[in-house]
Amino acid sequence: MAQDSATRTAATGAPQPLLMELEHRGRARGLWSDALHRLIQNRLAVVGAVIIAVIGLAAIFAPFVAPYPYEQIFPGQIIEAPSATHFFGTNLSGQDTLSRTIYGARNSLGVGIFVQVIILVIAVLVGGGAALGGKTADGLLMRMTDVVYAFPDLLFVILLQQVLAGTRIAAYVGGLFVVFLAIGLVGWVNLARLIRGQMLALRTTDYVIAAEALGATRTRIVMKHMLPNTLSPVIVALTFGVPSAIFTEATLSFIGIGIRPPLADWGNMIYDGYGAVLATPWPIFFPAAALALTFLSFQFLGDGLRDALDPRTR
Amino acid sequence: MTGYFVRRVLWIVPILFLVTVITFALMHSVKGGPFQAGESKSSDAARQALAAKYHLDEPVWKQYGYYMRGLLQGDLGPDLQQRGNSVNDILKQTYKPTVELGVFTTIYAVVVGVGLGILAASKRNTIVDYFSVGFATIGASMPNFVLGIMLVLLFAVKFRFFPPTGWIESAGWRAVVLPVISLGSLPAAYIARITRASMLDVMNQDYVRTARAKGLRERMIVFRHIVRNALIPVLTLIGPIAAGLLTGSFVIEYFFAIPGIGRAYVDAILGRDYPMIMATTLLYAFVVVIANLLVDFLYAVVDPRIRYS
Repeated sequence: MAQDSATRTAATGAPQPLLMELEHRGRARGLWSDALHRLIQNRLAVVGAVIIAVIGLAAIFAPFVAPYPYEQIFPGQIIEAPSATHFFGTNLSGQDTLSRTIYGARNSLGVGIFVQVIILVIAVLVGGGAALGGKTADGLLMRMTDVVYAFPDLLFVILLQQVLAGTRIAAYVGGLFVVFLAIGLVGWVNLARLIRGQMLALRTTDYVIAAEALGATRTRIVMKHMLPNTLSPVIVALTFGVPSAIFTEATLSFIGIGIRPPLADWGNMIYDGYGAVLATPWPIFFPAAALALTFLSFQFLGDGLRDALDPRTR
Repeated sequence: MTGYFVRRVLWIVPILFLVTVITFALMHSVKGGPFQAGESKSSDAARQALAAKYHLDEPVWKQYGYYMRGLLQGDLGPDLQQRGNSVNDILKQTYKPTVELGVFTTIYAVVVGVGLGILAASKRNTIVDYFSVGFATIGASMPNFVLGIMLVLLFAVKFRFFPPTGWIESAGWRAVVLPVISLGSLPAAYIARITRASMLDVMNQDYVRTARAKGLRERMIVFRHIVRNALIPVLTLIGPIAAGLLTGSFVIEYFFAIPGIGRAYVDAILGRDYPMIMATTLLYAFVVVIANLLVDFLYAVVDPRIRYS
């Protein structure tokens, strides 16, 4: 497939390749448009992207999409099966499961994306700093990474969450963001190592050496040659990181430490539904299906992105 | 190379030391303490007496000093939740189920993952491949507790094959099955994906073509030339996965009421049981560090091309 698109690009670009090259100089046309082209040809990845977009839009426009407010209680309508008034049924408290699933997408996607932002910032600073900052900085930062890596992930998240929940930060940004922050503060280690490794490898590539020989400034080499080439694996890692963060948050909420009712969250909905699971599985089914669908979508998109961004893999 | 590993082993000591410092500082900055007003009927005087007994009324750095003095003599301190018990006692009571769960789950994940991966790659683009990949993808698309709920509903409630809760001591060997599958399916799927990709990668190597050209039997080619080399990247995954399973099993321990360390740890954090938090963090950090060291060592052993400096 990769070869396919490569020949096609070459064919369409054949008449005046040099001219095109000059016209688009400075814009990252080759890599990105080529990658996009390959991505679109990957059907599973496109399906994943579309599902993510739909869930994302539902999350953003939750107040307009959801039939009822997520905390509204319908007295006497407890753990009902799906019906015309409640498409997904109701939970133990008599709340509409569809509305809660839609509002739950806000927290789940929110956690997934926010956590990746936090991870990216820390990982770029630590990984980039280690690769470019000289021997002392490298040693110091990587030893620090070793220490954070030694902590057991999930349990460290719980400890951090408890610490942050008692601080002023929590009072300003709310308990929700504290969960995001805790997951992010623990999860950056692998990405930092990836960025450092990638940058160190790039430093010895022919084109970076050539750029150095041509007298390009350090900033230019980093911004122009090293960062764009580090970006692909980072994008892929972040895409796979989203569902992993969502799972972590759902796990915390499931054991009652993350997002708590009345706020809607897929993890706490599953916990809540488990109380009545012998009577009806519906209150668990929909948030679990939403989690699985989101996970698979990001997985497919991640696979697609990896194949698209790295033409060397088959 | 020997020098490298000696350095790595020595480096464990400062890492674990820093882990104690960070954990101590973090847990003491959590709001509230183990003996809080309103939580129990004990009077203020009794609470103060308790705090004084466990040095909780002294500055944190002094408490750290007391703790480290005990730690270096192998004393992990008193358990503040079950007073009268030491943390050493609690760990002795709870380590077994966690270790068993971790070991069984790792075995399950590796066997199923590698098996599916090899099967899928050697029957590439056939129904077997699609089935294996599909199974691995769907099996991994749920958090372990959701899979646990489904398995319990199906195999413990509807068909009474397995007990819904408990562990070997209380519910017999059958109690192992559902927790292990719940916890191990995600890593199994991950291992299967990596194995498959690695197999396909190796299949295109020149020495495989040579083996085929020599007229070797297909089975010989697959197991002698492909699988052996394809498993090297998988091997490096087993360390972090085993460490993750040992330290990340607390949700499954909660869900299946398994009396292990993971549960005790979460209870300790929520109950501000400082000595217990310290002990478990340190123990888990030790597991993680050793697992990673072992992986790097094994890596160098099985792949002579790897050279550390």
